[in-house]
Amino acid sequence: MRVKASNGSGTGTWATRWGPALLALLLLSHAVAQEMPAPMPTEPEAHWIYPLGAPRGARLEAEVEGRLLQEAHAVWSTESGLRGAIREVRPVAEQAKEGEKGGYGDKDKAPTQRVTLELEIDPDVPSGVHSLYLVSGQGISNPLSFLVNSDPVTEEPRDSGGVESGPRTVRPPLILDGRLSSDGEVDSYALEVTAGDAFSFALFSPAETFRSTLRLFREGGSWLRGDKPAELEFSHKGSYRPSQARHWRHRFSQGGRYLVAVGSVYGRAEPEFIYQLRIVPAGNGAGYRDWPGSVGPAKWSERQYLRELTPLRLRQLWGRTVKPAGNAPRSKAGSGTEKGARETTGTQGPSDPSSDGINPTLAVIEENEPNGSRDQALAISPPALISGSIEAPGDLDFFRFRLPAGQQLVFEVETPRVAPPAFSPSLKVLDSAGHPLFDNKHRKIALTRQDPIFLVELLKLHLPDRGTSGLGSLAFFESLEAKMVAEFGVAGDYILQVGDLTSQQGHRDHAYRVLVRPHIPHVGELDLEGDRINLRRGQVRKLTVTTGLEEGYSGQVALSLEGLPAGVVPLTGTEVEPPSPIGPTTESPKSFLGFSEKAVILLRADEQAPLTDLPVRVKVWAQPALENRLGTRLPVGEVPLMVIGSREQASES
Amino acid sequence: MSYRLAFLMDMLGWKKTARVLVLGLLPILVPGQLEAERDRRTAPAEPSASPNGSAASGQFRFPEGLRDFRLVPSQVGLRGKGASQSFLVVATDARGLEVDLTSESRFNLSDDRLAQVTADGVLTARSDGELQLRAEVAGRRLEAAVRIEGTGRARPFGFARDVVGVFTRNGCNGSECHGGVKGRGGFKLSLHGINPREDYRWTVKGGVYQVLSPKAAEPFDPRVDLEEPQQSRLLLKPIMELPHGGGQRFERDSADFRALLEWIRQGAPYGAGRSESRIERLEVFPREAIMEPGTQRRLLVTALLEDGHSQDLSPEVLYESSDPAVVDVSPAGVVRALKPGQARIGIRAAGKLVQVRCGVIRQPLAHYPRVARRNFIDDQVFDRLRELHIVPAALSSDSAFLRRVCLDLTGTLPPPERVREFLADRDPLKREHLIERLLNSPEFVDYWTFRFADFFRVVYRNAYSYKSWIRESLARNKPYDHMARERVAAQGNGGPTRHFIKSISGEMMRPHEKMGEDVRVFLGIRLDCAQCHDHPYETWTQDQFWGITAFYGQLTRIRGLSAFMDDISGNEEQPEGPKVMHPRRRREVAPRFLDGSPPAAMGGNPREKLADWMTAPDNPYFSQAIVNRVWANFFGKGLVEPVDDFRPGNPPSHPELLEALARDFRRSGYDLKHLMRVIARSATYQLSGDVNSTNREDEVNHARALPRRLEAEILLDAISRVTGIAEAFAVHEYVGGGTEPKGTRAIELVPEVTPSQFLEVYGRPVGRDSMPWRDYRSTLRQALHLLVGSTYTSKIAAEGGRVDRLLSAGTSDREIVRELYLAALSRFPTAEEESRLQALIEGSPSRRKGIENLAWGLLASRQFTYNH
Repeated sequence: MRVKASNGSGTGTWATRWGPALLALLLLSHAVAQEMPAPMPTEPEAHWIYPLGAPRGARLEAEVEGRLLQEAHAVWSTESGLRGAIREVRPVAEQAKEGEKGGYGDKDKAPTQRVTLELEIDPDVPSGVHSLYLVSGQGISNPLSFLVNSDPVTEEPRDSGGVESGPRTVRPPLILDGRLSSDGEVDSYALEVTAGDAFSFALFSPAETFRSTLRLFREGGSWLRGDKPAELEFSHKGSYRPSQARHWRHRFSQGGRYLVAVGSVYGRAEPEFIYQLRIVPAGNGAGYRDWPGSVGPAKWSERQYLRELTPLRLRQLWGRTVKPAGNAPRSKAGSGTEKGARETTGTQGPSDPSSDGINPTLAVIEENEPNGSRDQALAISPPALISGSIEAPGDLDFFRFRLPAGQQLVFEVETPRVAPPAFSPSLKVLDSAGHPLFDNKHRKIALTRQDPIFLVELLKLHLPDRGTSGLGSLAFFESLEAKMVAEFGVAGDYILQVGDLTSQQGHRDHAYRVLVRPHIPHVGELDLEGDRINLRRGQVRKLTVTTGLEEGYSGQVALSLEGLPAGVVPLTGTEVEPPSPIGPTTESPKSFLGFSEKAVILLRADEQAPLTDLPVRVKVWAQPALENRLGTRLPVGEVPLMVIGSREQASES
Repeated sequence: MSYRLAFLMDMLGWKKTARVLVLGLLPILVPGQLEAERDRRTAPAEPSASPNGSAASGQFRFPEGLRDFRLVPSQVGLRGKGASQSFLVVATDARGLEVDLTSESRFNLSDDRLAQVTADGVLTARSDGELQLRAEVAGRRLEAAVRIEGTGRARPFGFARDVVGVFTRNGCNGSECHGGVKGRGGFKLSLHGINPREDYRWTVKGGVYQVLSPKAAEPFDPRVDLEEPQQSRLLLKPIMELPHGGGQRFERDSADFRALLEWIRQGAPYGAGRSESRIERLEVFPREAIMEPGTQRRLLVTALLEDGHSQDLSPEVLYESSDPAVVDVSPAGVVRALKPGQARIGIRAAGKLVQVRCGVIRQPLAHYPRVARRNFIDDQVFDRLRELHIVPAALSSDSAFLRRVCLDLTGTLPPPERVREFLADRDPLKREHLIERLLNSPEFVDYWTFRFADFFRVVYRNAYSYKSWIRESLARNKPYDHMARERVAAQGNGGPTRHFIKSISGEMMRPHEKMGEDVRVFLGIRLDCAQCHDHPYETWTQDQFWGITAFYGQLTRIRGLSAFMDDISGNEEQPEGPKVMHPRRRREVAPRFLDGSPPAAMGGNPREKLADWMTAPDNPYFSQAIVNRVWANFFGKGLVEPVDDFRPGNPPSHPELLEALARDFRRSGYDLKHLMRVIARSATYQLSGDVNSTNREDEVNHARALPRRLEAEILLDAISRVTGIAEAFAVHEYVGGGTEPKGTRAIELVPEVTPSQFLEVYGRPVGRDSMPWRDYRSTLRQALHLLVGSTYTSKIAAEGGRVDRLLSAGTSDREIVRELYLAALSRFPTAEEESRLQALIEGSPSRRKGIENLAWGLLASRQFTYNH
């Protein structure tokens, strides 16, 4: 089906023909969805843990709220130094604090429990976000994020009720634990600073719907209101979206008493609106990405601006496929070109002595000014890893490279310090005359929203007397990609232009790394659906693995499991892919899209399989398979699994 | 409730104890009494009236002390056969009023062979040469030099001048008639003759106007009959020999009829086209007329032609009065003053407009009092008042000034302790100090964020970062041109880009919607009508609309990032980049500024060029639009009103003042605080609302402070402040429900997010995809809310509220009355009010009830609900 898109008053033949029917279908499905009651949980659910974290070496009491937790008997973590024990389980209705907003129980009438834990954190547990689970006879719960910090942690005092109600004084460096559970609640803390002090403020919450606000006030009151503090203007800045972390730095030009207030947009509160606020002297390890940090090996990422592009990236990529027989890479970008280019530029550092032509270690080419025009373009020769920054609004960096005919290159970009949308790197490839050939804007057509208001708007636009002017422009959109594949049919000189999406943003922190490399068909991102498996005796549960196939990878992927408990066997499964109701279409799938496949492994527990008291860690591996050979094992993920009794057994017990 | 009504009846005088309260506290229930009572109490000494009085109709009586006699024009050149010129004789009377003496003058010529002159001063050329026109009046002899040339040849015929002039003069091409969007009765003319070429086509060739096509539709039915000119519909309809919806426009034997007939007989030519010297602009004498009721003045309209010559156009133009009840004007251009007030006479010809400001004064003042001035605002305003013989009110009291300036700069009532402090302060500069203090207060940032959120259209879908950007800009006192540039040329994901998002769907606005909003916000011009057709009332064309829209044509949204950028690289559908198409001409539109000029170079972000043009110092609209908006905040209405409707047909009340403010604003570096400081420091702003015999009718010249109803949000915040009970604002379920943080003020809310019955009843705008409009009307719902609404009753009686705290602290009745007056009205009660109110409280069934009712009465009073 041919889809025509327009950005204004153009026609939309596809939209004209199918739009009304599609809209009716969407409205119907929306209405049906609205009527569906929330399903009752079939396995333990944990909604929040408070406090959200603790310092290393601490022993503390914490509370967890969730459902199907009445039989919870253990706390479990993949980190052996993070241990816990359950002290008490209570129905939440009896525990709800006065004035606190009702928990999940109020919403769908399912029973909710609150569990008191005692946690112990060894001094050598790595700081960062860990996963905690509760274990019961019904199985293991979903993971709860728990922060282990290297800084001292202070819990929010119960009476921390707002900017105007006597906040308690805190002294950085510290981390504050808090929660906004009552509508309109604002937690405020007082800081005594001296002129010239600079602090970094960071707020973290794992709650996805928590649109937090972090504001800074100067205490002292105004002429009109003695209790009204003056807000420092910077503190309003921030994303309009829910965000897991907010970071600000502020240098205090005047000494005195200031108030830090944590709130929520429009005063919304929920029991899971739990946060940690970190206040440390600026420059004291409080940088972007530094806190709260994650533990464990980073997952392989293809199109995330934050993935790390290192000189080892090529090796890593070749590690995700099967090395071809012989020593010649399958890429269309030959090494002869690299050599020639290096000779002409002289900017490339010495190549890795261990380089074998297939998995070279790249030297990082530092961008240096002036390179703000095509004439000043810095010469590079692919593969190359470029590091630079867009330091001022309108700044553009140019790099020149030469290619023989028929080359296919991949351009990947990373934003190591400031991520989109604050810094949105725009890549353009120009021919030698400066005409644009490729860019990393991905133009797509899709209906992305299904809320009724949107649909009503759409219907209005689709009325017969409005012609065909509406739907096409509404459904046309663009995204900015962190990776693009470009095919160069003609030999010659080319220019890579790096800038910001706009001409108005620039800063020394707007740093980028661009990897220009040959096209390498490989296994891309590997995802494991679900965060735990509670397997009843005699039952089957499926484990779904999504495997990304990048840059035309045409082989297979072999999956294997490790650590299955006794009595549990894996079976190969099939699954019919449900048709996508409205799949996005794109003008340039080869440039921006990989493909993915889903594999289903069925796990069956024997009727006699031994029950597990605690979860076992099941690891899933993938291996590229090409030309009848297997490649290196790649980690897909790890999932805790428990074998639990059948429902009959559970009811008997 | 019943007790409250009994209390009201008490105050209404049935027990004859509370007349002062009725007048002071409850005028909202008996509107008009407040002013009446205040007039009696505060009216200053009446300015002395002129002994001459006004000129009466009938037998003319020369005013006393006439001086400065003038013959207008004093010299003139006439060209062509039959060229003519009207002359006026004027003088200034002892009171400074200019008087039209033309009818009382006798005219003669130095050489009767060269020209002839009528008794009412119209000279017609006969032969080339130079002569003097003489006028004798009141024993004076005046002369004007006249040079005549080219009498050997007639002025060449021109359709634009001679035929379109007939259309204009007779109102045929007005917006209500054939000059409307689609014309009328199948006959379309351009508005006021702005496009004579098209008028010619519609008249001679016929056809039906089509909104979405430049081509005319069938039937092609000419309005002229070249074979039988007398049967032309162009002639028969206006004389009503054929049915005509517009009625009879002229007589069969009129000059206009003859001119049209002659034109058709000649074959209906277009005549002088390019060779014709077009009218560049119109001038009128006098530009301003100050008159007494019953007097008349003639207008002299001169066309300045492109070739540098001028021509008397007085008999050929259309005259219209903006307020025929104040002044009316005859087709010949004679203005008659009917009653005191202000009006404008609009004069139209050949698509041009010029206006005469008319002021009809009640009574000329022989001795105008000296009025102290503080800055250039006062110079402009008070000069105008003097011309109009209106004496401004005295400066407001300290308490009135304090309340007014706090509300206008911060939207906040001063607390009682600050009122006491300010009233006790003996520093002569205390008002200036107060202004500075308020300009630098956090409440200033809150309030002006609210103000700007209103007219920058902050809505739920874009509120958070957009409002933050506004707030930060104001807190840093960012130059306004920078704010404008950031918003117009916004790219990326930052706050100013959020205004591209619609309030309902969250989708991106279309290019013409974005343009329309930016032009309206920053230039004060409403272009929207020109989207589908040329503007029906003004000269904005569809081409101008789409030309300026084209600057927004490349703006696109990067969905994943919700970022905006200008996409010039194109796509498969539009390989050369997105385009803006003219809906009628069906072709791509290139970016053009409103003046028709193209940007010097394109590429990059085209809206940066637009922002350059908009904010350029020589763009008069930009700075005038914002100073007008700010002015409206301080005076309740703009110098141009509505504030976003700048157009030739809606001129400012004080054009010189508007430009002076704009100039000062530009010189200050577009400093908003400077602008507000200048306004707040002026004596004009600080005038009281006192009425005297000269300023009673005035509502446009700032002769006194006019009371302004508090806007919904300000009123609610004020009630909360006086009662000492903050409002708890519920949040709409679709954003998660709950309540806003404690202490949140109404001015901090996003309307769509926080439903509030009180705010809706008092006219808060909601659901905004276009610019917000506030409803200031008083309604029955407001009255009911006042009587039984919980906003008033619950807050007043709440535990921990002001009344409760005062009672709990054992405060005396006298002190409570004072405290409540200070909190609500920023003043102490008068001795009479104090004693009577204490008596009322003592007479109440319970002390608490009495004081609660007093508080309610104060909150219900117009002195509280209005800024005055």
